[in-house]
Amino acid sequence: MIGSRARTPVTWIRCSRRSSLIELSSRLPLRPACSPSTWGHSLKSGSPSIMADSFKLPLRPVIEKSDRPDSLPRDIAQINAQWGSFRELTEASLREKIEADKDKDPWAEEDEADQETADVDTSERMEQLYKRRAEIIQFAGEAHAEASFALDFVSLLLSKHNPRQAETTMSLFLKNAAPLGSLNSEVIDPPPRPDTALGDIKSVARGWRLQNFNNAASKLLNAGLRLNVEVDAETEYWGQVLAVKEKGWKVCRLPRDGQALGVQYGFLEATPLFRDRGLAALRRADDGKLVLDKGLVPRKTQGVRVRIKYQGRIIGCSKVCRPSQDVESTESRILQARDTLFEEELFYEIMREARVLGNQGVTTRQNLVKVPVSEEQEILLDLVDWDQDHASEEAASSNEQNALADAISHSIRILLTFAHRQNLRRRTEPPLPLAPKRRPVSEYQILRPVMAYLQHKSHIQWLESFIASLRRVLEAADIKCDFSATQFSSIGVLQPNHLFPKVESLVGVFLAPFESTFSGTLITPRSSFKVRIRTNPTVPPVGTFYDISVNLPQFPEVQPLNRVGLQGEVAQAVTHFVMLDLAAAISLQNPKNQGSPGKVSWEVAYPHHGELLARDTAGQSKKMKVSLSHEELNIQTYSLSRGEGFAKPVATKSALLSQTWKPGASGPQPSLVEFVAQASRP
Amino acid sequence: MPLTGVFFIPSNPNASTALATVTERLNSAFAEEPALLGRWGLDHKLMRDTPSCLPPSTSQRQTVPKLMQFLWLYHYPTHGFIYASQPLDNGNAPAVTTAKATASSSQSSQTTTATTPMIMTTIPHQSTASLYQHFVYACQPFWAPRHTVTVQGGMVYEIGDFRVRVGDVRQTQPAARVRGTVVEIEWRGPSLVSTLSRLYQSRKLKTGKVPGPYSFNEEDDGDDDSGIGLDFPDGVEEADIDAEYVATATLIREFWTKLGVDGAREAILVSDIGKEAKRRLQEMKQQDKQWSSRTGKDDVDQQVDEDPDAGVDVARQYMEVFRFNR
Amino acid sequence: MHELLLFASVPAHQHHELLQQLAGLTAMQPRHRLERRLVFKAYRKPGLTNARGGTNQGADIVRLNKMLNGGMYYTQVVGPISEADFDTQRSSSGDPDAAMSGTDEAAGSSYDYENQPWKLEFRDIPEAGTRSTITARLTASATLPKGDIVTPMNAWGYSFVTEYVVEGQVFIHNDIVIFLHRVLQYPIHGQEPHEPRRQLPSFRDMSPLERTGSYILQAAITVQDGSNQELMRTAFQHLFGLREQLKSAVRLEHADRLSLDTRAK
Repeated sequence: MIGSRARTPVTWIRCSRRSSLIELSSRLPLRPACSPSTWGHSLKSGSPSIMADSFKLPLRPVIEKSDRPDSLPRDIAQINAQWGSFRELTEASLREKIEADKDKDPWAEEDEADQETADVDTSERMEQLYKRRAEIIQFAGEAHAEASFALDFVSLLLSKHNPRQAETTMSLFLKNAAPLGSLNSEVIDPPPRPDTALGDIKSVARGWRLQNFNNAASKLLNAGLRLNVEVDAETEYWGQVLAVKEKGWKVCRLPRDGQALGVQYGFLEATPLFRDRGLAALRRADDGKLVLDKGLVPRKTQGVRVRIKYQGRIIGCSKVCRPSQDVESTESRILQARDTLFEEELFYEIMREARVLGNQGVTTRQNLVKVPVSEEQEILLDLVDWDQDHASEEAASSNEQNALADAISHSIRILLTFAHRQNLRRRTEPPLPLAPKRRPVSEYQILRPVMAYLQHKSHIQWLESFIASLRRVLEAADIKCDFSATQFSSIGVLQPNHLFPKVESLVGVFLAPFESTFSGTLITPRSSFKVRIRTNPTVPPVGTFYDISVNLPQFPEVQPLNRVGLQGEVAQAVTHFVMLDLAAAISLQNPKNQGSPGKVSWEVAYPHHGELLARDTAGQSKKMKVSLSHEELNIQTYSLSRGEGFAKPVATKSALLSQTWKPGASGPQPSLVEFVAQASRP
Repeated sequence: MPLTGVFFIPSNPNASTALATVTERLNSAFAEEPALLGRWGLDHKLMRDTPSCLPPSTSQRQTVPKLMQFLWLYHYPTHGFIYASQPLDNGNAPAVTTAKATASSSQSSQTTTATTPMIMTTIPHQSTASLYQHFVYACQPFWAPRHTVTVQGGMVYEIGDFRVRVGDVRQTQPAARVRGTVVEIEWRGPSLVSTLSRLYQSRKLKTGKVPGPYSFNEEDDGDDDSGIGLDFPDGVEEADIDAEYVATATLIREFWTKLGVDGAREAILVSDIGKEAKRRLQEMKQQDKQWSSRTGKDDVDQQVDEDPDAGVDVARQYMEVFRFNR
Repeated sequence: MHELLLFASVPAHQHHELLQQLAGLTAMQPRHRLERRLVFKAYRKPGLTNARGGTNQGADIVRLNKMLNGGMYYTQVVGPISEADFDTQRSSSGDPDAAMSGTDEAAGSSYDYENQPWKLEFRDIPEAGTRSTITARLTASATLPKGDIVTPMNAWGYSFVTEYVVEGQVFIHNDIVIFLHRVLQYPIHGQEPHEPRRQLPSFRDMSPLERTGSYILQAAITVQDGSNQELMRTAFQHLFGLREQLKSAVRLEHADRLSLDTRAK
């Protein structure tokens, strides 16, 4: 008889970090046939100190060498029965067989056939599916029928002793076919089996049992192994989650999927569309790696690119932020996701704003916003992949304005963040009463301040250069005048305000209208002019306007000009005012005061035409015409005949004297004073 | 605070109003062509204490009715005016009535004298309607709405130093009907009261500036209010203010006489007129105490009324003429 | 305007934790709110309260008589203050500058009653009936002039009754204003004054009305037009949503209707 030493091992399967232990006790029967085996397991919370680093678990039944070897004839008979003949039985074939049996579930032979069909195509699979389904139904039907038969049989048998109860479980057919109590049973003694047969049965039973124990053991061990792998994976996963949390990211449960964790990297104050996208699930790969699951969002890194176009050429391009080199770390992936989200939102908001700015010449394409700054300059904004940015760099014909492009790209990002802050402020204010109409969220101010600033700057530059050239003309005629400019005077000194943080006040400055002033004193005493440039980014009237105020004591009727929009008109007005002043200055240069009686004195006759008249003692009239532009100053004198009145046009008269002053003209030129003195001679 | 006078020409419900006449006279009576400046309007509601609305019964002594008036003027859009009779039966009558211009009010002999001293309050415009609604809803035992009159699409003219607002007064509650024509004559020439008012405002701005969201030191050049830089006129006394009201009243009456419209009710030197001007004078005299600013409140939602006293005088005058059929 | 409300009582030990939870829920830092609340009562002229019966009454007279017997209410006048307004530096009463001002103001106190902004806040008795799961009531609020408020209020028919201070933290959750607050009482020295205090005592001397130090959590949503059923339903849903979200922390409930009765008898 094959015997085995009975053992009752009580084993602790380590199940680390789950802080629970499976207690598993198995009691192997000494004689498999007589005592039932009991399996019990319970979950216990154990202390981690029990975590054994060893995994020595004799789950498998130990098969001891049998005391007496089987008799050789018996073995020969077995081999013959099992393998046919000795020739078939080689060591190699045996090993193969062992290998093949190793993993095989002894009851799973039927499954093997199925596995081969794994690679059939879909239609066949469908067919197979239906077939299998039919089979299952058929089997189930058969099982049901057999169970019914069995039930009928037992019911009929019992109806002999307990007809009332048995009747309830009998089928209708049986009731009709057989009367109750028509079947009886008796206990009979089976004929005694021969000892050899009993021994065989015992051996077979023992063999089966051993095999099953083995199987159970390997299943447990596999499960243990799997658990181990799982635990390691979980450990790694949680470690990474913790690392993410320690970096300061907000880790939370996903609102829709309560089982999963998510990391919040988006901006709470963004548009709902982007706010909700700022949450990605932290999923675990099979090996425990942390996977950032952003759903259907493309994984590309994108950024808003700013390009400066000047006279059709691109002369500046901003840098698009690159993903960091350390692509694999979770932190950098979260950062990348956040940056991309921010950039997408930025572009979305720019687009939204650009659409309402159509009346200011802003145009949009599918993925491009064009913002005109001046007649020659344009800003292009688009959303590009970071590598695409690389590729198209050669498209820029020069890089001279890269700094400006970068400055703009920084500005728009700051302005979006500012808009977020404003949103927070609005959100945390006490809300208005619930009303049927909700106020729509107005577009953020991102492009408008940038546009206004650039526009304002370009206007300042124009006015500055215009005044400078005018000044050079006047200096050529040796006329002293004083100009001063206060650029962006609206941006003053930041006052501390306890209601708003400094950064917000700082950005707020750029949302307010810009203002610059140019002022200058003119030739005649106490006369001056002032040009004020205002650019309003948001509140209508949008755009840049000039206010020109003058203080000409000689011409009190001259009115200041307000809200001039065109540069040409401004240039005209300023030139005109200076010309008026020149005329006044000439008339003030009165020779009478100097006590030279021989000279004529000039009187301003038609100031707005720059005409002066002089009459000498002999009654001879002379006329002087002053014309001024930002390129030159020209003064001519004509003589008028006696009979002609003041009002008569004098264009046909030939010039007596003429002098043109141009900046940078070579050779000595007389000053205006000298020229007038000369012209005053009779 | 400019000096004003209000005239009201009542008309019969179905007759045409005096508006056409007034407009025509404005054009003809003056050498200067009146310049049309724009439109204006007003809204006035009168409430009266409910018990006094009942017919007098013999058993009870009829007391003087108490009134509450709500007025909103287009030219003072930030706030509404509430003028309510002071409670007589409630022991704690404050001593504010001491500043009452006794000398000037006696001159307004044509006007119906105010029944009880009244208290002027201004509250932000948005709150006026809700406060009125509140009284209608929650104060029925002691406030009953009597009537609502409005002026819509009135005209504003400027003639020399005067600014004239004319318009038809229509009653909308309880029944729609025409009430008459109202004419407001505003003296815009140099005046002590308006100078004081400007001075007061500019000082208030200088010292107790409520910082806006983004306030910066703006070097405001040249556009300074003329009040700034003026020294406080030490010699000014309350009597001077009274004298000026009287003098201006004469000017306004002269102007009105030129128009030659009869049957008008006049409200110029109504009681308590100039009260706020005098109070400001007092405040400016106690300089060390004033100008304490209060910026600590973080109630940003509350709109800031720069000058809650603006227009109280003209409001009193309007209320005086609209106290009809109470 | 209508106001829909839910309340919960928050014991002192839970206060801090709930603040954290609310901050998380609303994604904002709490806003501190400190308010003076003056209670005014509508008064009736003595001797005129009895309606006069009589024959031949016109419709107008009937209406007026009905008005005479209409409800009268308590109403509150609310003014925001800050902790700095409380007289914290009594020791500096010898300050010569303060003495020069020569007014009745307490020396050293920064509180300026003349510039105190006020707001009228009227609350009707909560609506009775089917909506018993939520407190709903008619409200009205109006900005009032700064400074002395008793004079105009008297003229308008209200007399001052008493005052107290409310202190707490405000959170905004979409349309809902969550106010976690408690009521503070002024220290009583002798007789209660008959008008609002012109200076405030030290903040330490203020004592909570609820001795245990517990707080009230109030979730309120205001609706512009209470007759708009759809809006009211939306507001209801929002409040119920909040109640669900806070279920594990506090139990928000409607208040007993009569405990919020503002009618003046």
